[in-house]
Amino acid sequence: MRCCKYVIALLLSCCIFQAQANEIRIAAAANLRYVLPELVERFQDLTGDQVSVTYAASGTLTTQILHGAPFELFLSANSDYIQRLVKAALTEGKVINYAQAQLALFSSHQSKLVLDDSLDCLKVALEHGNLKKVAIANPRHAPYGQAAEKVLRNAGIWKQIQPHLLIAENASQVAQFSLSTAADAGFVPYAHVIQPQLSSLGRFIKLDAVLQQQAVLLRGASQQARHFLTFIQTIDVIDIFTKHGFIVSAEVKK
Amino acid sequence: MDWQAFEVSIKLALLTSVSLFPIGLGLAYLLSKYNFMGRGVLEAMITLPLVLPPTVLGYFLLVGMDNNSFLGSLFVSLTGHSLAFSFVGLWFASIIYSLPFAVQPMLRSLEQVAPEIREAAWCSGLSKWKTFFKIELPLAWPGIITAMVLSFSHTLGEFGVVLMIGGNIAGETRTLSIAIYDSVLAFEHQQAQSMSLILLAIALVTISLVYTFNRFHPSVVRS
Amino acid sequence: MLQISLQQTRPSTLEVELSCQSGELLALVGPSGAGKSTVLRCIAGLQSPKLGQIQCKNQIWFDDKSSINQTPQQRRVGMVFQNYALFPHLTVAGNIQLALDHNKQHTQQCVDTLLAQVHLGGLGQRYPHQLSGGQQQRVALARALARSPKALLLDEPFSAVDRVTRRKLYLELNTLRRGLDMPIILVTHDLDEAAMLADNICVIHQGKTLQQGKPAQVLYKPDNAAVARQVDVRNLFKAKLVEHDGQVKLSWHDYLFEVGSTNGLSLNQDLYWTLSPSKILLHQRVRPSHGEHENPLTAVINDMVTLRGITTILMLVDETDNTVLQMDLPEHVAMRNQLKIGEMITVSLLSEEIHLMKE
Repeated sequence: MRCCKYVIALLLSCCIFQAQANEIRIAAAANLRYVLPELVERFQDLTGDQVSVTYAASGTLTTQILHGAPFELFLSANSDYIQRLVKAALTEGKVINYAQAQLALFSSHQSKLVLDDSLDCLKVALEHGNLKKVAIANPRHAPYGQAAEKVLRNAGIWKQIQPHLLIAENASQVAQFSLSTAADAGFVPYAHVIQPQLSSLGRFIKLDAVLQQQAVLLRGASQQARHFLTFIQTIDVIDIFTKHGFIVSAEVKK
Repeated sequence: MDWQAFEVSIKLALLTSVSLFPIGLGLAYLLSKYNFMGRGVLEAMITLPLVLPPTVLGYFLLVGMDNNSFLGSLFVSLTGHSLAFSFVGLWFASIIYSLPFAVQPMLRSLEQVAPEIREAAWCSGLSKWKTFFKIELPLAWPGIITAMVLSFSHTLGEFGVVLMIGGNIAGETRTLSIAIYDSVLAFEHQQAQSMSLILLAIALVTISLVYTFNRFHPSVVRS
Repeated sequence: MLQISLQQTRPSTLEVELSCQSGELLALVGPSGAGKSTVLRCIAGLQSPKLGQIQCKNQIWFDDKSSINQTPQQRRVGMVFQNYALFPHLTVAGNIQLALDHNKQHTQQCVDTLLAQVHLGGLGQRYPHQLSGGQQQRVALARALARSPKALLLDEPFSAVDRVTRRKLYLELNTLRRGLDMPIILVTHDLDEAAMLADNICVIHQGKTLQQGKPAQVLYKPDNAAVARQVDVRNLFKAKLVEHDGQVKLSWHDYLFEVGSTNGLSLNQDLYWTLSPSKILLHQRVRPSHGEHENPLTAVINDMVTLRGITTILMLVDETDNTVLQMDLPEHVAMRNQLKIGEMITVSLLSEEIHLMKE
């Protein structure tokens, strides 16, 4: 019985401790998986505030927030999901365009494709009938999938390539599918493909497509969260974004 | 309502449960009759899909069906297509995924047949095979039916494994459960709801049938 | 003719020698766990002993030296299991039909004949769960016979039925077996059943066959005390043979008894003697007889139990440290002599009936 009391006291103190931790809770699209930790580290060094980030597909995060998930800041991979939250009156303040993400075409070393940014490699392979699978994120709900669809439509091969598509649930799974020997190529976030884990396993080419990265504060956000949102728009962090393959627009607040 | 996904799901579930009839029965027979070394390990391996998260299963299947793997390369050499991200690959994965649901009920009902009944059949002149088909199988068939129905329903509800190794290809690996997930992510709740209700109805009907059937079937197993 | 010789030490001990002629019924008796069912299963081919030989009608069924081990199907045995093991999903006719040879013509006729033989005519379309215990037993028997077996094995077939049904079944089996030209082995723990049905009894204990012989022999004149204990011999006592006045007599406590035969036993050797309770003569007060001079002794009646017309008297023999001797009397004799508990009586032990044996 005594042991029981101690355990309960311990659990309660943990909860209280947690509540007093004052971490900034951020929901971030999966493509920020490599750039955000560096930003967070620099922010934490500067301010001493702690940050906790949850990475997931933008759509998944949106659903969670709509159902009351306790995030303070949402960094999305496109604008549609942000709009949903604005419509649901769950946001505070303006929607910020803080960076642009890019799309790349990636092929693992096993693939024989010679990549080019007008996708001729795919066209030729389709005509010759020797194209294996091509991985894209699900265009129905994933921002990178929608971007890939746009590129394929522009190249005029969207219809022909349908039977060859491997549809991943999110941008991270596209990379994984692309590495399979059953796939010839995949439309992967540029931010992922330049990481050594992926770049060492194949080759890639940047495509002419941008995804507007938008951020918005959520209702009840703390002062520290506001600071973070301001922080990622400053000149000081441009180098981090660029290093990770993002384009930072000229409109930047000091 | 994605009827194509519905068709894929039904086709997959039917093929899996039909395939599991000989496989499950063979394994159940082996386990019920023979006490061999490593029997415990075999039983544990069969039960693994029941306790492992689908992601673990999905991971090993991904690796195991890759074109460079033994199985994958064999399939490519035989058919010219890759095993990964194909309906056949999914069928293979579903057999492993639903294996414990086929083996367990069959094993239980085979074990329920008293050994004296088999021995009486042998003394009456029936060979071991004839004894199995004429005596044991008819007595164990409630368990066999249960096994078939359970593996059908379980395959119908497969999600995590399909998500990892399916590739979501329309008409081939996009099952109803994947279609539901996609609809939810795309905020198409009407679609998600109608498909979910259909899956729920099928599951409810099949499971009720199993329980009702087992209740009314006269228990004539023990002499 | 069925000849069996089995030996093994693991997983259980077996040292079995028995034989049974065609047309004969051999009862294999012993307590639970004695190995009776094991022996039967070995004969049927459901189990294999480590060493031994099983031969039936000049066919070798099992021989460890020549590595012969025929399957139950090859041996052609008819086996009736303790719980009958009827096929629950088949009708009575279906059960029997399964055991008939496939190339036999007129299967329906055969089935009907067999059903008539076991007095189950007209019940062919019933299912086992619709039959009584006695009826199920008959079906099991008919199925065993349908096989045209070379030997019939019955594993405690009457243990699951009530006493009244059992008596009926005993009589039916007795009649039925007269027409069967095959060795029949009946496993039972019931000595009365064995005595009633068997031509020969074989006593088995802890996997070892102790004695095989006619019921009268085994039950009342067992080879040794070990067998005697197994067949529940009443009046079993330790004694010695001594010489007295130039004659060999049995020395028991302070008594010296005349015996009809020493059964090959020597003087001053530890031995056991037994006497059937029905071979003790009561010195009647109403009508004295000559027999009263033969091995007389006095005793006090300690208890009296009457069952179906026989009164068993348990008496404490004088000067034997209260050893109990049992005597069976017809009930009317006990009544006529007005025997009561606590009374002193004198009895005579018939010397010809005293049976001597070693341990």
